[in-house]
Amino acid sequence: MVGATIWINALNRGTTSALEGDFILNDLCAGNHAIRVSYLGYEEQHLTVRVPVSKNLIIKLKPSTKVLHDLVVEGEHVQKHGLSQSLSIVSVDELKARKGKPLGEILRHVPGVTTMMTGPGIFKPVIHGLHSQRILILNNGIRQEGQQWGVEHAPEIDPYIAVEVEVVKGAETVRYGSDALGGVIMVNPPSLPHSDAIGGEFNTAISSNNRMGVFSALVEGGLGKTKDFGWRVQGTVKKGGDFHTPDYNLSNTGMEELNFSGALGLKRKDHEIEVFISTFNTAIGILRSAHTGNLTDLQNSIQKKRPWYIGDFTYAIENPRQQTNHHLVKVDANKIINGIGKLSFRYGGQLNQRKEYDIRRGARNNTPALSLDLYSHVLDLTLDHTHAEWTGSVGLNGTWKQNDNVLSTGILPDYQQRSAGIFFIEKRKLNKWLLEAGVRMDYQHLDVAVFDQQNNLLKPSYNFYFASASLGSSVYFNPGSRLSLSTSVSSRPPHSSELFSQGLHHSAAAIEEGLMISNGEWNDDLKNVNKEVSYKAVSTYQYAGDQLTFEVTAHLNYINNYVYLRPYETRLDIRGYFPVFHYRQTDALLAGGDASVNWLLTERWTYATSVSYLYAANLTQHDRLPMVAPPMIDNEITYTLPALHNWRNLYVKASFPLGLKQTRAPETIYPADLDSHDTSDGKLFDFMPSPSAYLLMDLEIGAQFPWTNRDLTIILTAENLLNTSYRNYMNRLRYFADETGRNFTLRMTYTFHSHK
Amino acid sequence: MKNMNFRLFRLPVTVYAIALTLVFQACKNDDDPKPANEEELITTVALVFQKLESDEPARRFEWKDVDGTGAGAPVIDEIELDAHAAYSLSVELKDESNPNDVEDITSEIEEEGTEHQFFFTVNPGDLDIDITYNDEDADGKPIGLINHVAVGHAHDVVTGTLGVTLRHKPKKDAAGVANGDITNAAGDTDIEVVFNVNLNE
Repeated sequence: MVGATIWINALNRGTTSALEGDFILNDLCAGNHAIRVSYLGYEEQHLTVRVPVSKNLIIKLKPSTKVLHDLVVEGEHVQKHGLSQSLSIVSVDELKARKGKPLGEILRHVPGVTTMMTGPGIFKPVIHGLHSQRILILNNGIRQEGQQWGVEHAPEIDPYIAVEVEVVKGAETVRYGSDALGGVIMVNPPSLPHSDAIGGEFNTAISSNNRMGVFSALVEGGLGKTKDFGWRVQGTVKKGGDFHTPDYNLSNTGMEELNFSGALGLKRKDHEIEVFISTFNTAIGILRSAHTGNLTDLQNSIQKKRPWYIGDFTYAIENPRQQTNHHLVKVDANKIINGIGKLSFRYGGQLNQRKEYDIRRGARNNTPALSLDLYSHVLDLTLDHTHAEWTGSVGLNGTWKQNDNVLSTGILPDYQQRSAGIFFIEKRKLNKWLLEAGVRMDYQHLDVAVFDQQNNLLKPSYNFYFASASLGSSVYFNPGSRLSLSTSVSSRPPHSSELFSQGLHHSAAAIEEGLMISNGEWNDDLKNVNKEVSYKAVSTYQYAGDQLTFEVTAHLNYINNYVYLRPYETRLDIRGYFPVFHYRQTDALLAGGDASVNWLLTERWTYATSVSYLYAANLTQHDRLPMVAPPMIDNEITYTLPALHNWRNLYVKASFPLGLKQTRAPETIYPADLDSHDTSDGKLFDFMPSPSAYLLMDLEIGAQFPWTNRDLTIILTAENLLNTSYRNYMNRLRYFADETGRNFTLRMTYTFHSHK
Repeated sequence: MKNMNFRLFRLPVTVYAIALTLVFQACKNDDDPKPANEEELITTVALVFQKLESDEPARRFEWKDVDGTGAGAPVIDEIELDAHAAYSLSVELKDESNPNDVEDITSEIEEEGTEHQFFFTVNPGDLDIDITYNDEDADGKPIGLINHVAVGHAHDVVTGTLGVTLRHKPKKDAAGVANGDITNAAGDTDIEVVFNVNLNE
């Protein structure tokens, strides 16, 4: 850490730390000296040092909670995102209280982030109304490619790997390319240790609602004489059965998960190398009664307000189900080149596999209805430089992707995609101001192999050229008060699934057709297809005082040629009538605001609240947009107890999430009325009115105490304590069942040696 | 805890698989994909009416949509029946999406009789056609592949519709289901088609 102050009070002298954080204080008298170490954004540390010092003195600072997160981030994460970005961080402590949950569910507590659900087990994060192919999820720096497989596909990330999760709410297309148009979610593991001791932690969680158990272990240490090498292995195993609502069992919503990761790194004075491998494997059951054959089934589900199939609790996962595997190899290397800066190299190779098993006749139940393999190789080369008040990066990116639709069934074609990008980012500090600007250019070559309606093989190829630019500024009025504004123009070529989708979605009882299909005919000419261009501005004001911390964010995103699903006609099939949706383009507006407040009322009482609101409109059609999160308000009060014997960090927290009704949902057309409804005007509709508002109550009790000389943290949470029945507009299976009822979770973390 | 066995304990295999697939990926040849063989597709529902105590040839009416969920419209025959007559009605299902490889689905339904049931709905209610099941699955419950049809007078109403619904995994024990009432049947729908019907005096 550069620039930390090391001060000896008694002598009234001191120094600041140099480039690698090292410092020298000469000519001290032998004996004990009280020193004070401070750095902006970190807690001040007082310690006594005995002179002469026999071995290297290593002082570690803890980030302070009272100063803005971003100030902390500034020092560490210069490379990851723009400094003027609106940013939220899920900290270690927040992660601890939600461990064992899927990533998407953990993130829904972040202001501006909502989740789209497919039943109780599949969570897809949404940032300011955008998701899937429009937001980027980086797991340890590598993008999750499986994202593009659609809304019912949750990110394959084991949150136990993370020490923190960062959410960037502005576009980061300059640094990362077109899929960061709506924002970025970064799951960051801690840096590798370089010390003698073997450290790590064990985590376990058990939940009452779905009788789930999770166990996760992380072990890490250093290797070699000089501890140049650091290593870590981590694994998680998870098994849960059917969830239940206050009134009934949600049959076939069990899941299982098995993950492993390992890392080995070498750190020298001017270069670092790290190899990381991980594998994520999960099987998830899809609510049995959500498999609809046709609109009559859907109408029955909506009318009965209860799933038609309710069985006894079981751990068994039957069809319909999905099975997902995600395997990753990553190599990171960087070298400091004197006089120029830091050169970083990154390779990431991954294989994503997804199999969907449907309810089928006969012995076909073990043959997937859809089987997708996605391979990708990514190569990044970045040069970071610092010169006086200027810092910046130049980067090259090369990507190779191949998607195999193994059985040629379902809605995604085979394709191969090669792309290359180059970007420049430059920042300048100017007193209290920080200015940054960036530009990026991309080229993409896409080869598609797809069958048309008559089973003729089409093999079109496309070339896309697209660019992004961003401009941002931040002003620090004082260390605890910052205003930032980031603006960007990003463009994105349509994804091959948006171009060539064709098929029936069982859970939505709808037929979807891509941009290249019109009037049932396929064409491979792009003349009617345009690049999607987003103009986004996000502004955040943050204040962090001794008692009061708050932030307010306003965002505006105008998207030209926004690709979305639009009703087109009603089609008669052997199972009855189905609505047909076309991917089409329109001009869309997404605007809104988020605010959060954390107020230390007294030494023991803390009050926190957060509010988010999003307005979305289809400007060309003068219509609404589907699946836009309704306003959410969360109120939370925490009481911190005094330490009791050797129990520390005792607290009780009650929170009251309030979800309002989405009053701007598309108009309601019940499935039974669809055949007499004219869908040709392209106006959006939904099969059911948006659910009513709901107020829940959650409770959390936590404590930390020593156990066999190590730290044991215990957290007990109760979600939906009052067992309220409700439905959530953001759950795609809201037509079929209520949300889950009361759930108690007991979490234990045993830290046997912390390197932090 | 017999359900606790993990489908996923193949970790060593998968880890090696990563390395191998990534290496061999580069050598993958560019074979064209093969078209999907949509094994679940039913394109054709045929109702075969054989007049009882008569030498008259069987009457066959089809509801056919060869392109599945595609944009092509179905071809639907109009059912012609005689008043004051009894018929045996058998239902035949086919996959005719590939004209060179027509698949018979009827036998599949028959084999999995306990998991399937047909329901017949005559509309309007006073169109005098009465359909009763005339077959049984392994549990002695009706399937609806073979039925008995009694046609009464054609004085008041001579035209209407006949709806044929096939449910997969219905609750065959629920009230009324064994008598052909679909109300409590649940399950999910494999077929839901409607024919126009004319009665000839």
